[in-house]
Amino acid sequence: MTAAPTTIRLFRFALHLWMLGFLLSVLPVLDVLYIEPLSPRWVPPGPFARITHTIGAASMAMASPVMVAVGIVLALVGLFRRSGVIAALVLWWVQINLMGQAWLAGSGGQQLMAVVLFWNIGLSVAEGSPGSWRNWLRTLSFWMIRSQLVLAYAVTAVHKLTGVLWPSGDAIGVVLTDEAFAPSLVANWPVLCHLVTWAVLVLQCTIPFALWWRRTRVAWLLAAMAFHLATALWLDIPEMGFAFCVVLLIHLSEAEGQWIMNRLGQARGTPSLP
Amino acid sequence: MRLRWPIPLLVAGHTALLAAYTLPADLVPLRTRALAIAYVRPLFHQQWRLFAPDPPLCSCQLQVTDANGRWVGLGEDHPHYLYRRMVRGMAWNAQRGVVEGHTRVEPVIAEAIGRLLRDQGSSVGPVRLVERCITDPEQPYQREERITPLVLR
Repeated sequence: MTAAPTTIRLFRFALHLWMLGFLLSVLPVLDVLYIEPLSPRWVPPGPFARITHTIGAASMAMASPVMVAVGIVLALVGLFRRSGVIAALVLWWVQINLMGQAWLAGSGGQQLMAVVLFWNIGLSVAEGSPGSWRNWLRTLSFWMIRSQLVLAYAVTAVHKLTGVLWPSGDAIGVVLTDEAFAPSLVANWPVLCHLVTWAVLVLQCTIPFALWWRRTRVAWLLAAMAFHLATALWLDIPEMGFAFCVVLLIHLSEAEGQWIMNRLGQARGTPSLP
Repeated sequence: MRLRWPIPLLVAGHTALLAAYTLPADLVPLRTRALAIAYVRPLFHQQWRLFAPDPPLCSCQLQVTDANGRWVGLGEDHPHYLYRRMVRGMAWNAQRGVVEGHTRVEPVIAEAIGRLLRDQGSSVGPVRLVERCITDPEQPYQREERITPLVLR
């Protein structure tokens, strides 16, 4: 098992971009998320709560703007420089504590990113010589993130296959006629709704396998990104859609990562990203 | 020192425990599930059940009375996606109770709704849950309205 260093750089760039976008997006509702939160304080039992819910309810009002600011700065720095272990650790801690406070506003995308930011601590270790503990930790973190993504798709596929409305093709019609979501107009075409429902089901059932083969990987990655961008736009879960698009990048091979990096580097007028 | 050997083992073990935590409960043996909860919940909590096993057949909305005594939706038109999500979360939680036969909202959600009322500048008056439910999934546009008064305290 090896890690793909260029893919890791591209992935970490996208991860920092997501974090920056998410933290900027919370600014207009900072008060109802953290300062005078709508979510009542809830701390899980166990010793790990000291890490995931470090700051008490009273102090959170003062600490949260600082935490968000620190997160924004670290995410911004991570876009332009290779950030180290401490920065990655702080970024994870910020995300998991903010998510713990505003639990009513949580989503699978935020949960995914909290897990990925944890493994990003291992990815942030500088590359070492072959066989060194540094490379071991980077490789472990790299594969943990890859397997995390595959697991998310596989588990959601199993859940949907155990239901009635996904196999019958009715699920998307039901979702889109809920006033909370758009575009409800699509529900006027039942055949289209059935096709989209089955397409989503096929995508989620096959992607855990398709990501491992060169011939299928790119096509499935693009299809999954299109799906997630659609959910970001129409299902009111923008950060979740973008989170999956970011994490999908970890499945690119070294050559595919290099190809994208070269294009990005040309676009930026610099040889490569940090 | 070569440390590579345990990586596949660690990744497989970690992923197996994540699977035991997130898969439908009836597919996982009880003891394995308990082990998975102890391992996953503190730092790796996640669930992958959005619109699964089936999307909800009822949309739901919290309503309060305005100054003119008319019933209006509570916070659902807010321009920010995270605000709308919190409001939806409260409504879904209240609905879960209603489905189980309780109109008294569980305390933590009742507290959240109280905070929402204050933020919206509404007096703590009567709150109701309005569900619009599909009766035939092949005709999702046809929805039947159900109204349930909620008890917050």
